[in-house]
Amino acid sequence: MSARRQEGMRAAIESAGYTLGLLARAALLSRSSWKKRAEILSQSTVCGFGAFPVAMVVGAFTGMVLALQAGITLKTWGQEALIGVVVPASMVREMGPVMTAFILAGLVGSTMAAEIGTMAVSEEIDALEVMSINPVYYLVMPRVLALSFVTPVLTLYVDVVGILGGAFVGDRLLGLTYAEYMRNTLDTLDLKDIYSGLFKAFLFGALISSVGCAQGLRATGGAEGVGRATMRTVVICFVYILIFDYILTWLFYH
Amino acid sequence: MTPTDPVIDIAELCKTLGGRRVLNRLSLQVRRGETLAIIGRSGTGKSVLLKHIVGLMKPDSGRCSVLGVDTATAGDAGIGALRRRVGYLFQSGALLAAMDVLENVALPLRECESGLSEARIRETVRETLALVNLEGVESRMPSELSGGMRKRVGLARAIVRRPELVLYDEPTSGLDPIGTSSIDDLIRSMKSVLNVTQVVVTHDMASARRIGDRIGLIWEGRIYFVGTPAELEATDDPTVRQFVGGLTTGPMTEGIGETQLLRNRPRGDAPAE
Repeated sequence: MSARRQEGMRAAIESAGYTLGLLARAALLSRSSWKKRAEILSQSTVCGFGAFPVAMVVGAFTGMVLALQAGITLKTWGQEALIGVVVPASMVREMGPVMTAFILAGLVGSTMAAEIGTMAVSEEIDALEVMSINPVYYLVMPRVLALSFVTPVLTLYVDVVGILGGAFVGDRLLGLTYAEYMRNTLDTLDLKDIYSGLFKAFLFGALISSVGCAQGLRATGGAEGVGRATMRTVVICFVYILIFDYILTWLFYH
Repeated sequence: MTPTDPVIDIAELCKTLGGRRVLNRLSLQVRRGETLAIIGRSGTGKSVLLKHIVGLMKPDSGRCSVLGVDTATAGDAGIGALRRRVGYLFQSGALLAAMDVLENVALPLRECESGLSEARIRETVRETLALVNLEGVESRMPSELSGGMRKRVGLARAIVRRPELVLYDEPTSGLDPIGTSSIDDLIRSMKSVLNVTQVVVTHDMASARRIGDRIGLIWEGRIYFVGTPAELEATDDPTVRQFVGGLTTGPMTEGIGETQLLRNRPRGDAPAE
């Protein structure tokens, strides 16, 4: 391995360590989250409401594309009714949490990095520290808690919209009634599909917010540094989401 | 800690940043109630020194004792307790851009002092803003304030808990001469009104003369000279003379070696080693 690649690898591991350490510190500090309830609520509102319109479009088209792809293949064997099984299972277990996480990484993770990064480069974080205010308690913990709880809620919404999107394609293009589709859905979807998906979403929310905060806290070098932190947040989040998605799926269904 | 002990007692402090030895066996004592101005060229470690005093940076070696707390060895709790007794004014003011003036100044009270009523907090903020000659600005956002006002609000936030020690990082940089004088007057008035010990890092010679009971010149990572403004004027050390006179030629700009510098060192301020 070349020296440069080794250096890059080391930096990536170090950054992951810092991010997960930050998440652990925020989790420990969440014992006193009651005192920060106003901030947590306002962060949840900002994270949640901002993402709803995009989530609707993404959810609907994800469900529609799944139905179309699966429907075209299944129709060859006259089994198109099975999209009522395939689409909801894929949405709830996989596409719902992952798509929601991607949306939130781009929308909320990057905002957190920009916001906290701007504070870091203008000495505001140092100012908090010299006032003996812990930045992890003051800035990171409320954001991590807010996004950890908002992500499953948004995921549930994306799941529902996606399933309905699939039903719409079934009805319009595959000659499947809504009733048939929904009967298949309700018959086959089990509780584990739903809670494993929501647990993934919870973890993705925690990861996205800690990556955003970690990148922000470590931003240096003025506006350019803040820009870099924002861009890195999105890339790192995408990678983490996919890696953790695999690990969690393995744990749940192995 | 007795009242006669120095408020700040630094010995042999070393710090290397980015491969460069920024502080090199620096030693310094600050007495209770005095205002010490620290002067020096840009990039000579003045701000780094301040950051060690509040524990934002840890020394590579040496001792840094502030109000009886060793910032090198104190844990988070010890540093936290120390910081409640210290005020720090950042160069930019470092106000939180998302909050108005009232919330900025009230922040240390809200976050760290429990059991204060809202009325008490507002009253303390109003009193503190009056101390820095600001009134009726509570609802303004930092972006709506001039540079001088931002520094005043930053100072108000630094002294709202009535600290024993106040540190200033370039309090007059970027201000016009009138703004500079008024901040200097404020720093002088803090000493009498709040009875605090103050350390002011600046590269403004005129400012340092006005506010400092003593002036320390930092050069090559050490306190090269320290004395009263009169002693500073009286010394004929070429390095000090160059900085005080703002001369472009002299030991500071010649890049001369360490040995020669040591030879130039004035008597009475023996090098640390």
